[in-house]
Amino acid sequence: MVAAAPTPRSRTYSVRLGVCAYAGMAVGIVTGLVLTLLDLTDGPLEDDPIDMLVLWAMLVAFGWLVIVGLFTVFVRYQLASVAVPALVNSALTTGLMVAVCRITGFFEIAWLIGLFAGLLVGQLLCTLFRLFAAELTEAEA
Amino acid sequence: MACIDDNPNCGQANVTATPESLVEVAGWIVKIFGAVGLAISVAKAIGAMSVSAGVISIGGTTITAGLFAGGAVGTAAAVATLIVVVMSARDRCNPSEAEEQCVAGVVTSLTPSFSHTRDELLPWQAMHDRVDVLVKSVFWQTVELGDAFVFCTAEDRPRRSELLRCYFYEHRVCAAANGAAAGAAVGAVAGIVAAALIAAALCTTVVLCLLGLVLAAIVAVAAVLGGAAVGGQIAKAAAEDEDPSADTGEIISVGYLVTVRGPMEPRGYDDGANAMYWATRAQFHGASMSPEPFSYCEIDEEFEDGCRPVPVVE
Repeated sequence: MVAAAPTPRSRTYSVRLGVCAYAGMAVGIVTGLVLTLLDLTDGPLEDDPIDMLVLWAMLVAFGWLVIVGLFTVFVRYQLASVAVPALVNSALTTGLMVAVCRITGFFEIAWLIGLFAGLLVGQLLCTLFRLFAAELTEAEA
Repeated sequence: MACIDDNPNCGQANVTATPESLVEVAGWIVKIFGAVGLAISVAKAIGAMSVSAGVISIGGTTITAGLFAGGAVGTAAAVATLIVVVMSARDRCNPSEAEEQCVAGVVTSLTPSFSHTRDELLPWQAMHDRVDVLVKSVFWQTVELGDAFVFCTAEDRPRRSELLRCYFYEHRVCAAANGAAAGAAVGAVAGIVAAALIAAALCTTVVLCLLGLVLAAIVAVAAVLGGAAVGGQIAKAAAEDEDPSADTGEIISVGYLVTVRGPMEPRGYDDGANAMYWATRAQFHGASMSPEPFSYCEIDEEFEDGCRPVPVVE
């Protein structure tokens, strides 16, 4: 009988959250803090849809850089494998964050909204990916 | 020697897990950025911080809003990056505290430290010398402990064999990591100052201010990584390059029969596989006479390994 090594709590936790969720939380809180600081310096942010779209587009680009940097520099993934998923994650997370902030007006806690938006979007993406992968495996079998 | 009637448990034995490095780095990003965000939100909520006409007042002290915002995001980005570099240095300079294991087999490959270009650019990520050991079948249970990922040879069954990565401590790697940490600290200070100045210069309109904050964060991270690269290279140059060797002085080479002891744990750096980090003892048993590519089928019977005590005959 092989004695199994004890499983660290962090490992169990990380299996539940998934790669997409961690990426989402990172991009959500970083872009959220930037939005909070922007509101602090130039606030209250105008409720102009065009302005919001421009801000969102810039946050998507920055968020993409955050995820790509996180995965290529620190986690040692290849750029080609993370480029597109990073863009999807960033676009959805920052989009949700900006939308919630605009609706509620809570730009001063955009960092917190971004964190939860990233967690939600990330979990959703991870779930969709697992379902897709399972269907693909079934189809191949 | 005939191959045994058992299959090595190659690849992923359980559900795909998130890389531990991602968990660690993302965790620090959330903690540091969350702390800065919380501090600002609370300060504003309780009236300790007020903003008026582009100037922020904190406890009687006034500062331009752009300078403050750039300093805040720069600090968060620089500190988070610095912590990751320091944690990496700690990993490279401290052995695992896991239980010691013993394996024996033939050396199939060697990966010296600083063998990748990225290790020169990110010296705090460089890894110690790695010796891949094709282990005897009796040690497969050790390699598979905890349902870890298992590296195997590319041969077809039944000749496919399990491999264990054994790291041999090299002072140069630890020195580079510590040098990188020191350089990163210096870079962090410069990065925070630069970040504050960039945001202060650009915060004239909303869009430009956002651009300024983004650039501030990027510059802060770049300054820390740049400082780490310079500090790591200086420290690496001052240290000697060492080769992994057995206790009796033989430089370990491909084809050598060895017994290796050391703490073993699953490591994110090795895709969740168990790895010896790092080997504390290595016993040399001579060069293998088995045909290549190597397989446990021959290695199992080729030598008496040093893991199992020889029975005393009275």
